[in-house]
This record gives sequence, structure tokens and C-alpha cells, in this order.
Amino acid sequence: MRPSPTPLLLAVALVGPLGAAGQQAKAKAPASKAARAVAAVDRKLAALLAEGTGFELRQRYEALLAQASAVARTHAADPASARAYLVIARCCEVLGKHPEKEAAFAHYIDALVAHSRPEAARELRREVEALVARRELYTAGKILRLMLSKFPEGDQAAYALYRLGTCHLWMEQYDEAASALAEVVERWPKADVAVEAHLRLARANLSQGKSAESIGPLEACLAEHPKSPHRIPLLFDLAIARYLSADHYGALVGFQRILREAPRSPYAPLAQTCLDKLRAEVLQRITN
Amino acid sequence: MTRCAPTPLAWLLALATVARADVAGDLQQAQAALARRDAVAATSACRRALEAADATAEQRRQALDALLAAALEAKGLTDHADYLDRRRAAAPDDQRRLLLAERLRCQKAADGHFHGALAQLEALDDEKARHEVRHLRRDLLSLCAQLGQLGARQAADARRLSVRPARTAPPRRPPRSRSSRRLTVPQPTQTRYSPTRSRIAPTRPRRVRRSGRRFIVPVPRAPRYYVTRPLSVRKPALLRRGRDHLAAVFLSRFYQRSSRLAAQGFYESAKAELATVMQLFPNTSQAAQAAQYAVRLFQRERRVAGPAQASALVAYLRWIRAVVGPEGSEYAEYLALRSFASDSDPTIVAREAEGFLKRHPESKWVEGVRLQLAVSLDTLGDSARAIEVLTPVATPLDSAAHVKAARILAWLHLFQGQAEKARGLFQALAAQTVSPQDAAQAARLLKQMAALPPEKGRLPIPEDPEETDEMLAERLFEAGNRVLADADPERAMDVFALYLHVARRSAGYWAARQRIERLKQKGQVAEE
Repeated sequence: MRPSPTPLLLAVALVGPLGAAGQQAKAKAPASKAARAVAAVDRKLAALLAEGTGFELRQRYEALLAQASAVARTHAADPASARAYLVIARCCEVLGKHPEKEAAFAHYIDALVAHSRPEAARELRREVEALVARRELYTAGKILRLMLSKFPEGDQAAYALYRLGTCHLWMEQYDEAASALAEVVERWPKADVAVEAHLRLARANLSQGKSAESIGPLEACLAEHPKSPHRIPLLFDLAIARYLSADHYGALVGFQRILREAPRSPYAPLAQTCLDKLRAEVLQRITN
Repeated sequence: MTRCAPTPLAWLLALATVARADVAGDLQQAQAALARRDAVAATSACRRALEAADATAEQRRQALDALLAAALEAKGLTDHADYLDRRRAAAPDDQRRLLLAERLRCQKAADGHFHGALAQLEALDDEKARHEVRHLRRDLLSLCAQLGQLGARQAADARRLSVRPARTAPPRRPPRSRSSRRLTVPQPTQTRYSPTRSRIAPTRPRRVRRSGRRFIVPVPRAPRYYVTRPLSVRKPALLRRGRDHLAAVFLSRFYQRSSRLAAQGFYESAKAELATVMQLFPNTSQAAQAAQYAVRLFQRERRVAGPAQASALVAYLRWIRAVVGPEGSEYAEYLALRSFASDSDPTIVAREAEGFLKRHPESKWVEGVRLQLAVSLDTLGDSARAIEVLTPVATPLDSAAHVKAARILAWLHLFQGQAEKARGLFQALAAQTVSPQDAAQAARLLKQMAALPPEKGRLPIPEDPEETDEMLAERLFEAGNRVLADADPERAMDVFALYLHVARRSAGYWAARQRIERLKQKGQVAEE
């Protein structure tokens, strides 16, 4: 015989859904004062950015900067005020106040980290990609170092170090690039960016004339990630590294494998031409 | 606005101008005319060459040489001098100095001395030529003074070096006796012997002072002939005595002269000097060395002339057959095949190599020529025949040439997809003792083959083996652009970095590099 539910249990059962509904209602409830103030400065910023960043708008950006600073100061205790720092950072960026912009962005990230780490990581990645796209590589490097300090381990750290390596590659600082990328490869061999880090490391070695150093890591990467979408580029880079370091047999097998595995990829005609060149070169070298 | 169509007369004039611009042809005609002692034809051909607007400085010098030779032949130095004066008056500034120097040479040839030339320089009061006249006069005066001093010194040296008669001692007087009485004992008769002093070691020759400054003006000298066709080189009689020593001396002198001529750009004359050594001392090590120097000359000439020049291999073989006879020289031909094969058309290489094997089946260079033949046959797509040519040479592995042949054969088998045959050859190579380096390499390769088995299937033959570099550059750039279009700028930069590494000599390198730099700096390749 099952015992019948007591009035207390019934009351709890009724209050549960009501409580959840109450929480939802609380979430949909009008925002706090800080949130409203921040939303106001955010809207102003969006409107100003839509108008442009010309010299004639400088005073209005200055005014918005003052207003956002006041909001951030006034509602410092409220987590919603974090966005005010982003507004400050954007205004400083337009006004050319780069040290102030970096400080404000660091405040913004601090506030986000305290609130939600994934959101902070997302914001950092977005900012870095925007800077790299605009080729503001030096600033991107600073943000990446900030990201590394906030996320010293895991996928975020691997991403930050990989992107730092690519920034160095764009700036033709091959030594720094090679060391950053090698660290990614060693410390996080299974990270999302590990395969790409191998490819970039091969580029850094090629640019420094150290193609032979790429052979071991590329072979290890192919063994580690046999079904990676970057398999054919990896095979191609490996074959080229072998060819440039006078390992003709390895290069021959590598190029043949590309032709067999991906006859329609953009690397197939390249592999065919490399084979032709290899054939002529090997025979000429032995003859002379 | 209407455009006038060119009249037939204008066309004829243009054709005549084009026809007259064949300076090399005119020079050849002049040489032919000189060879048959036809001074009139030679003079007219040389004048045409000299007056051509597109003649080079060397061609003008050749024309002037031939003109002077023709004038000497026809004994018409006065006409020649008048022509030179007229030509100098009409010539542009850069040719005037050469013509003035030639005028002085003509004067010297007529007079036999420089005095007339100096007087003529004194008489020249041309405003335009004042600078050149001053320089030439100074050089001539310096030359005359030096010649005078040199003559005086040589005469003094000759006097000093001649055998001087030894001083004879005066006959001794008999000693005076204190007594007045004459001695009864007869005095001993004086011997006829008298010691004479003679110098054994030759006197040290005095140093002749030389002027530190080199002449800038070409010193008047006997006219020389530039042999542009090696067929006209006359074969001198063979020297038989002291052959080795003579050959070494001759090679050294002719090589020096040849390198001097080559440095001045007279390649044909430089080759003629080397040809003389090869003709005088055939089948000697010096002839082989001369053939080697000639190869360098041909390579240098090809570099100067650029890729537009005809095959250097063919030119060299033609030259060598003209120099040593239609049978050619085994070593020289082998050398040519080895040196020019990589830059030459494989069809020509294969043809010449087959010809060599037919002509000289017993030659000691047969293995080397077979290697070249096999490589060119493989390049032409006939790998089966290349293997057939090499197979008899690849065994036994008792010499360096056989080891080389075995290595090539092994690689050809690999490219043909016959891994087992290749492995067998590499095993034999690893076991041989003729070349330890090749043995070690073969052993490494065998290990690699065990770790990384070769793919099955025969590799296709390259379509155009000469354009492989250019094609690789093109394909790399295309692949980079395709990857960039797939929104992967990082990977595109990987491919572009490889392009920058390997395609430095390709035709579109700089345009591609600019594009890559734009991508690097702005993140996009489209020009704004």
C-alpha cells in the first residue's frame, strides 16, 4: 500500500514550479540601475560608431568617455558595470589613447572573469581576431599575453600561444614564432590548434632554412591526428621538408601518397610537379 | 585625321636599311675578300660595317683592322687616311677617339715611325677633338720617350753583357842587379803562359724601370685578323722534339693570351688561341686542358649571350670537330656532354651521345657517355630504353662509373614503380667497397625503404622537363590563391612562403611577391 502525499509534500510540489517561475520573472524583471546606465552608454556608442570616427566627432567621443567613466565609477560594485569599461576602451581606441584603452579592456576582462570565464575567453578571442584582421599585430600580442595570464592552462592557453606565434610570423619574427608554436606543440599536442601549430611551425622553419627540423614534429602530428582535416597539407609540408633537406626517397614517397590520397586537392598538381623536379634533380645529381 | 599609308618607296628604303644592318655578315664578307686578296671588296664591306648604326665597339674595331689590312694590301694608305678623316668629322662623339687613334695607326703604318703622327696631332686644331688630341699626344710622347729610353738601356745592357777581354798583365821587367857585371848564368826564358781572369757567373741584369701608368690609347700595332669561323684555322705542323715541355710552355702562354682576349670580349680569338695548342699537341694532357678551358669559354659566352643563344653543346662540338678534325676528340666530346648536358635539349644530348658510342666504342669514356644517354632518354620519356642502356654498365660494381650507373638504374626502377629491382640494386650498392660513401647512402636508403615502403605504380613522365621550375612556381602560386579563396589566409601564407622560397627566378616572382606583401600588411590582396 502506497502512503498518500502529506499536505506538506503537496505544498512543496506546488511551490517548486512557482519558485522557478518566480526566478524567470526575476530574470525578465527590469534591469538594475547600473545595467540601465550601461545600456544607455552602449547605445550612444553604437550610434556614434555608426556616424563614424572622424575628427569632428572627437568631442562627442570625449563626452561619451566621461559619461561611461562616471557610470563605471558610480556602479563599481555592480557586475553589470563591466560593459562600461568596454565602452571606455572603444572610446579611447577612437581617440587614439591606446594605453588607456588597454587598461580599460583589462578592467573589462577582469570583471568578466569574475563573472563568467567562458565569456571572458570569448571576448578575448573576438578582440584578438579583430585586431589580427586589421593587422594591429603588436596590440594583438598584448591582448594575447593578457589572455595567457588569465588562462595559463588548457585550450585557451593553447589558442593564445598559437595566435601569438602566428602574429610573430606575420611580423617575420621567425625565432619568436618558432618558440611559441613549438611550445603549443609540446604542451598541448591534442588541442584544437595543435595541427595548425604544426603547419605554422613548418612555415617558420622553412623561412629560417631549417626545414629538416620540421620532419620529426610533422611525422608525429600525422601519427597523432590521422584523420585531421589538415592531413593533406600536413603530408605536403612533410614531403617538402624532406625534399628541401635532401631526403629524396622520403619526398618521393610523400608526394606519391598525396597523389594517391587526394588526387583532386590543390596539392595534387603541386605534388606532381615536385615529383618531376625531384626526378630530374636526382638523376642530374648522380650523373655529375 | 587621316594617316598616310607608307609608299612603296618608303618600304624599299626600310628594307634597304634592314638589309644594311647585317654588320656580322659584312665583316664575314670582308674576311672572305681579304682571304682571296680582294682589297676593293674588303674595303667596301668594312666601310659598310663601320658606318652601320647598330655596330658594336668590337665590330667597329674589327672593321678598322680589316680596313687597314685592305689598305696595306692595295697600297692605298693615303685614301684610307682621307676616309678616316672624313669619317671622324661625321662620326658621333663616342667613336671619334677610336677613329683618331686609327688615323694615327694609319700614319704610323705609312711612315714607319711616330713623327708624322705627332706632327699631325700638332696640326689638328679642332675644338671638338681638343681633349682627345691632348690625351693622345701625351700618350704618344710618353711612348716615344719610353721607347727611346728602352732602346738605350737595351744597348747598354747588351754592351755590358758582351764578353770583355781579360786584362793582360804588362811583361815584367828583369830585376836590376846591383852589380854592373852582367850575369853569366842565362836568365830563364819567360813562359808563354799568362793567367787570364774570366767571369763565370753572369752579371746581374739591371732593372728596367717601368712606368706605373698603363696606356689608355690602343698602341699602334700590326693589324690583326679576328677569326670568326674556326674552320679557317690552319693546322700547323706537329712539333716532335721535347713535346711535353713545349706543350706545357705553349699551353701556359696561349692560355694567358686567351684569357686576356676573353676578358676583352674577343671570345673567338680566345678560342683560336686554345685551338692552336690542341692542334700542335693533340692527344696530350695539355690538349685536354685546352679543351677544358674552351668549355669554360663557351659557358661564359653563353652566359653573356643569354638563353637566346643556340645550344652551347652543339656549338662546342662543331668547334672541336673543326679544330681537331671530323672524328673529333674523345675527351673533348665527353667533356662537352658532361658539362652542357644539364642545359641542353635532351634530344641533342641523346643524339650526340649515341654518335659518340658508335664512333668510339672502345673509348674509356663510354660509361660516362652512357650515363648521359640514359638520363636524356629518361627525360625524353623512354625510361625502358634508359634502363636498357644502363643495365650492362651497372655490373660488376668494380669502378666508380659502374657504381654511378647502378645508382641511376636503381632510381630509375624506383620511378618505374619496380621497388624489388631497386632494392636488389641498393643491396648490391651497400655491399660494394669501391665507394664507401655510396655504400653508406645505399644502406640508409634500404633502411628507409623498410620503414617507409614505396607506393606502387609508375610515375608519369614530366611533360616539359625544362620548364619544371617555372611550372612549380606557377602551381604554388595558384594553390596559394585557391587556399586564400577558401578563407584560410594562414594556410595561404604557408604556401606563399614556400613560393617565396623556391620561385626566386621565376618570371612572375616580383608581382607575386608584391601581392603576398599586400596580404601580409593589409590582410587583403585586392588593391584599393
